[in-house]
Amino acid sequence: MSTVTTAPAPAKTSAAPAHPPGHEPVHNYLLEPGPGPDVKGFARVWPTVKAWATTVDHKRIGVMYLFTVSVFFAIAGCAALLVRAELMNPDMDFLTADEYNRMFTLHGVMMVFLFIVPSIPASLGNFALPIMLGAKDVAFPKLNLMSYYIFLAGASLAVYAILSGGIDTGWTFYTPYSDTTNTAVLPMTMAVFVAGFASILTGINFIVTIHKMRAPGLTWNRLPLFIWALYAVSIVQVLATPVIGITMVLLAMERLVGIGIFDPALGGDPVLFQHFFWFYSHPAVYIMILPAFGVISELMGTFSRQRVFGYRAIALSSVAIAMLGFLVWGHHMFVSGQSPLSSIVFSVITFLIGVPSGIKILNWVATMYKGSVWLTAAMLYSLAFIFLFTIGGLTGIMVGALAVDIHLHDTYFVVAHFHYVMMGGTVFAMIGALFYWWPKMFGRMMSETWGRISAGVTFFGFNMTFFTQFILGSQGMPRRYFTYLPEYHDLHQVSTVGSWFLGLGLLMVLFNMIWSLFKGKPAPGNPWGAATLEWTHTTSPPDHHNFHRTPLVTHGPYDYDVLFSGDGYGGDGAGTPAPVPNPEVGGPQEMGKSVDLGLSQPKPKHD
Amino acid sequence: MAENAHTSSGHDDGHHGHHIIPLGVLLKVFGALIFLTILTVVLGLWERDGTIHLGALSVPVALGIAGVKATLVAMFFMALKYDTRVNALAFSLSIVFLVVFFVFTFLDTGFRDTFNEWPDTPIDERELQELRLQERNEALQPAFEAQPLVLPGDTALIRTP
Repeated sequence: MSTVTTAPAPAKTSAAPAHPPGHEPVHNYLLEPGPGPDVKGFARVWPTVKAWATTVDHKRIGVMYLFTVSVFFAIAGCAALLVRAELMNPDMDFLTADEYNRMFTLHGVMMVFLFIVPSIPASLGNFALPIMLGAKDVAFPKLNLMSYYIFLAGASLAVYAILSGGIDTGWTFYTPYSDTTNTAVLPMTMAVFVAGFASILTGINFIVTIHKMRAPGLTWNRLPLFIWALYAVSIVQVLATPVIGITMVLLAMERLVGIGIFDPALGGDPVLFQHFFWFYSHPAVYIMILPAFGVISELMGTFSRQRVFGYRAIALSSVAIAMLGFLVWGHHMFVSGQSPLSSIVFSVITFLIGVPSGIKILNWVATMYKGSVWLTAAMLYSLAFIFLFTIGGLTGIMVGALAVDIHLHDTYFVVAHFHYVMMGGTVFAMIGALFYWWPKMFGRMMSETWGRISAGVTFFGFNMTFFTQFILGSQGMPRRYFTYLPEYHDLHQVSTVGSWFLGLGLLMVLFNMIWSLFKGKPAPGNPWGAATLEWTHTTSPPDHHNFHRTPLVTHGPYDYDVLFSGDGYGGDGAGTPAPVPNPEVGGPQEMGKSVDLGLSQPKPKHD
Repeated sequence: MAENAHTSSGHDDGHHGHHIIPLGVLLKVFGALIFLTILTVVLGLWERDGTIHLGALSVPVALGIAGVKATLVAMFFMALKYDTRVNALAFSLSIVFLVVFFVFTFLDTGFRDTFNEWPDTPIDERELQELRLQERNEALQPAFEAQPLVLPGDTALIRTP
């Protein structure tokens, strides 16, 4: 009966209840449905592949998304390392100027459209959202699977575009150059067009799930902040993504039949392309960063053992950012020749974005104040996030100021700014989230020690790579050039060496993950002592259908005191205590006197 | 019988059916749409004849009438009036975002050339030019100062021949 190999020692399913009643990990979603335990060897391969490829289980789809976006992250990351290596010296080392253009475009397009946009929402969001809501799946499970395959189709088109020569326009596809270059612009725009549909479908799915499938008692004011962030993101995805689709179609028509929307000779306007493009792509920036905000809110609460300060302010500021994010796209176009009036308006609204972002930073810091901060690897990554995102955000205000932007536009300063936000923000948050949810996803603990070391190496490498670029940019080094003047040589070399440290840190994370799958300690249901439903009411890894009984929510997502005392509502209608872990497991207070880092099974309370 | 559809009793069987809109309402809406269409055409004709002068209001009035018509269609023919409020909200939000896109893009295209109303020369150069002009004027100043024709001690002029 027990088919579990990766789950925490569940062998005696009936005798000793090593898990809360009704939550015995018999049905590990990683194994079931799939070939039974009697099928051995290669005979397992096809049934396993089939079961995964046709699954409508949100957890499996999340894992598949995670794997896919990780592959693209690795490819695009290698492209970035190549770009940096070429910039080690000003002369042409191993990439020609053309190859360099294609390489940084490959990096940009892949990172943006195939990695960051789907990264946290589609992988971790898909995995965690329904469980955090107390639902058995998303509202439209088949649509969810379809979105994954649409994403794959878009990604295949992108790979085809790369193999058929790549493109050299930069990820923004600006006309008139994208209209005239003879690289593979068409397949790449189609890739973006198709991948956009995956984004829209995921957004719709999340919105409906959040509205309709919350467990009883889970009011809007009790929603975990990760859910709030995903809700805001979904709205942006649904409203903005169609515009990039339209833009890509218009660009394709421009190239194919010359309809003249963007061609001044035919009465068009090339700047109009930038309006179209940024009307999606600026909100897309918030598609990339808002889920990271949600993750950080979760981590700050759990690892500070304290209610998240200003819960409602954080929740609503996510929505405010999502809305304001639609009104600032013109700040990418200050030097494009757009009218001074619109530049002024866009600049003012851009400053406004600083308000909700500042609210979030303040509240996260305030959450740690007088809390019991537990410096796990996940927490270290989220502390790094706060540090890096603050730098990224404040430099955003600088380039949002009209006069300053004239000087800094299209320099390395801008490159450093958005890497601080995208990489130092989203990627750091995603790694933190992986450390946090990994035990839940795969039932294994990652190495904390190596996790902490990797956090240090990544943080150091990141700053070495990109802080130098702030200086380079302020001195006038333009972006997207494969060579440079001799006075920039030293800083470019520092930046390149930093990129190796950064790559090393990320490799450590990767090896940590792979190691944990085979050698990691089995994870208990709630290793971090968190208070949201995915930790309190499911096993690690969860059952195929998440919960045996629909949970009844009686407290907020960060009420750790209620969690540890138990609230008497197990959701079975019989007044059974909620399945809480042993309070001694996972609390930071125990770290000094116990070597048990929360990595052991919760002790049975019933004997 | 059609009026009964307004009450919730028809929906209590647990299934969300279509709301059946009475024929009279549909016809009234149809009439309103036809009237508004005629109004648009008539206004256009009058404006061409010179009977009325809407001037800058011409486009806003036409767009306003079209907006009212679109709203009527959405409310009654698309039945949003009888649907959950959330659907109406979602519908109007999408319109709002379209308007946002148009308005902000218009802020650019409508005011594109205002840069050129200012001189192309940088401000420091202009200040320098102004300074030079001032200096030249000051240098020329003595030449233009009014000189008395006869100075009190000018013996050469006073002396009689």
